[in-house]
Amino acid sequence: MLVFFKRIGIFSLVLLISLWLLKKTVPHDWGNELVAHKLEYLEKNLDQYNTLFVGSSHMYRQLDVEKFDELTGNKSYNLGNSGMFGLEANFIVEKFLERNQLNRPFNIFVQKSLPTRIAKKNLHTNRGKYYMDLHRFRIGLTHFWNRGEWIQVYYHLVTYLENQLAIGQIREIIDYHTGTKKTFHEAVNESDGYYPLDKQLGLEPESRLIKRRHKKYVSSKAYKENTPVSVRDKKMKLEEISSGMLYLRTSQDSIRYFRFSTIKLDPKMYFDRGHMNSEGARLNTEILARQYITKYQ
Amino acid sequence: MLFNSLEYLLFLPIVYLLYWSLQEHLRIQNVLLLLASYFFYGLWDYRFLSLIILSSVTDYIIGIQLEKSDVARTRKSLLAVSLIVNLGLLAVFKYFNFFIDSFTDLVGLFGLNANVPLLKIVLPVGISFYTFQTLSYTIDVYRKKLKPTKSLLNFCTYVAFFPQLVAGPIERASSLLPQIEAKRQFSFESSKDGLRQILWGLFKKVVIADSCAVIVDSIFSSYHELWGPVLVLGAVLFAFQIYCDFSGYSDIAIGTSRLMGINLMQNFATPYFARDVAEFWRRWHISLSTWFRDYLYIPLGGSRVGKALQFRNVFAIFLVSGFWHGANWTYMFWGLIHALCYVPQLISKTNRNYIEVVAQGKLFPRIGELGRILTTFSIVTLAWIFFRSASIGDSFSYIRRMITQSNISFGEVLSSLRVDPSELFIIAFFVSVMLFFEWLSRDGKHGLAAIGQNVYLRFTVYLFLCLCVLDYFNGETAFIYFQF
Repeated sequence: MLVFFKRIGIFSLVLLISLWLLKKTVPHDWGNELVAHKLEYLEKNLDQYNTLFVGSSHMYRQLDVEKFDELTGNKSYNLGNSGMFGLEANFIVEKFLERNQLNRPFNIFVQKSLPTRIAKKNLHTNRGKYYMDLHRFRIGLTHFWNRGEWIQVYYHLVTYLENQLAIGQIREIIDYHTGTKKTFHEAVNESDGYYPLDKQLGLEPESRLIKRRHKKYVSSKAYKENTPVSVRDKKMKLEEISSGMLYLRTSQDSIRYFRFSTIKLDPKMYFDRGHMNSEGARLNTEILARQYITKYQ
Repeated sequence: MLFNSLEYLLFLPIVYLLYWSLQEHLRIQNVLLLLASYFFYGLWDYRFLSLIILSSVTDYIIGIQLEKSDVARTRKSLLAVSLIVNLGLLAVFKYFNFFIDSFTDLVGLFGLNANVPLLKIVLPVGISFYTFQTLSYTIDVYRKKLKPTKSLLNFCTYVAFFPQLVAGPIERASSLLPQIEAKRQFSFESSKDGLRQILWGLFKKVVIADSCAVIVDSIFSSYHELWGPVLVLGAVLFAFQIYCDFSGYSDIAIGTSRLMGINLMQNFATPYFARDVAEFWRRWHISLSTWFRDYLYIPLGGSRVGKALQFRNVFAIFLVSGFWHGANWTYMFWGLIHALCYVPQLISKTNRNYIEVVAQGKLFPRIGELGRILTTFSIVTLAWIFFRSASIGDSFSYIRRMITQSNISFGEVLSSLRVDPSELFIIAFFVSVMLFFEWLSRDGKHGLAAIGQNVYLRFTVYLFLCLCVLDYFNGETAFIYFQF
């Protein structure tokens, strides 16, 4: 029996080491094609920028960096990507700062950096695990352990182990090294990483569904005229709704980290139920920029 | 719990270590096996454990009562009770809605309207397998071919033995029960080969079957828009999908069992190398074919009756076999096609022409043998279309389109597939690897049986297969035969 276990042990060890080494052959941002492409562009042209936006599609599709720069005088890059996890944003920012010594004033807007729940459909996917290193795993583990969400503890463990051992990633790592798959995101970088959905897909919005979802929203007309906004029967001022949108989370050396949340605009400003169209993105960015100017500039 | 899940990757080593640490305590070892089996099944739905326990306890008691009684009438009554309980469970959980549907359709033919409500019934996983297993026990005891066991623990372990609980092989009590009752000895060779068989099964399931499934699902769901060659491809891929899925499961089940020092019967013996339909059925789902042979075909008279009755028996066994697979006319039609292919062989007495493995002792088959293999594969693949389609009408439309819509170039075939063509080439590569190993091991018990003694070669093959399995692993794709 001992011989049997010994042989299994040796084989498993060789297998695990091979997998671990294979994983080490790809850069940290490998696994999210768009983010990797954006980072490559950003780091090549880093001197041009002093502001970075990191987050999910609410950042990627709704933060019009051109508008933001026009109002604030900054030069910004949008590093957002659809479905970016909280820990993923945290990972991307940390690795970005490790690789790039920023000895000048720099703003980083992070949509969220707390662990988000991993949905079952995202388990075993590359996008859902490439960022899960030991540090991120610990954060996720502590977060969900304290909340007693055991299934999330388990999902984080699975994601971490799979990522460290390149499980489910082997063919794509081979593709990466052999260069059989080309990236195609030049257009995104031409607009500093921002790309609204209506521009990309050119489809009609699902207006009926949008209206059903947006029972409470900020009227764009009211905003522009700076008048009270009617949200159903309540009278609310725009400032009340959007005042908590942006805050300075921390400041370290010359780098300032901001957290912000999105607000709801009226349905005509949306492309689909969850994402604004170009017009909505401009307004959303304008509101954020004004808060930034008022509070922090 | 699925064999191709992370849970099983944790479950198996824990059970394995506990199991062999209790080597000196047979009773406790069997308690462990039973609890592990109930846990394995209960993770899917613990409520349906009650059905397994009901079936087990009923047949255990009937077995003992059968031994006590010599009165023919009492013995027949006891057997009837077992048949009613086991087939009753199947009828309710698997066929109830089908019977109602068919009844409604039938009275509709006479212009009547039977408004019988359907039930929302969940099909308990593995019910067709374990009910057949318990039935075979009672029938064998009734026929006095088997002594009933006195131990409820051993009997329940036999019925619920986790490696083969949900999708077979349908093991006979005469083979499995004595192994559960006897003390097991650890064997290095058996454990090693068991692991090898598990790896081979995982490769077939995770790498080939699951990859084929994506394309097959896409083709069968929109066949009315696709061209003939694409539909041929869909049928061929389904043939490999169902083989790799089911035989992969059987390999993992048999391999796991061998780790526990228990031998299960071989369920597949390279059926796609069969030279005629009769040989195919000696090599496909052997545990079910032999079950029907022993408990249906032979009691009906088998081939030792007149020609007319022989035909009846052949049709009966194939139609019942089709019906066993599911409550749908498509399965019956699938069985009918096989019966129609088998009957001419029976008439011409060629049904036992190919008992030995193809090209035994040779590296390659003769041209004639290769032709027969390809012909048999084509017939079987055509029949699979009925097995896979949602209705018989769909099957015929699929075949009609396959034949009539064939004027298309290879490039157009690839572009109409809606999948990356490289995926198709990768699948073709893995299917070739599978066929290559299975050809080399065609007289062995699994695809890696003839891997040879060279340690570096073996190590490289294992490493390659492990990497493939880990790469294609996606957590939890269910096995096709779970629905039966």
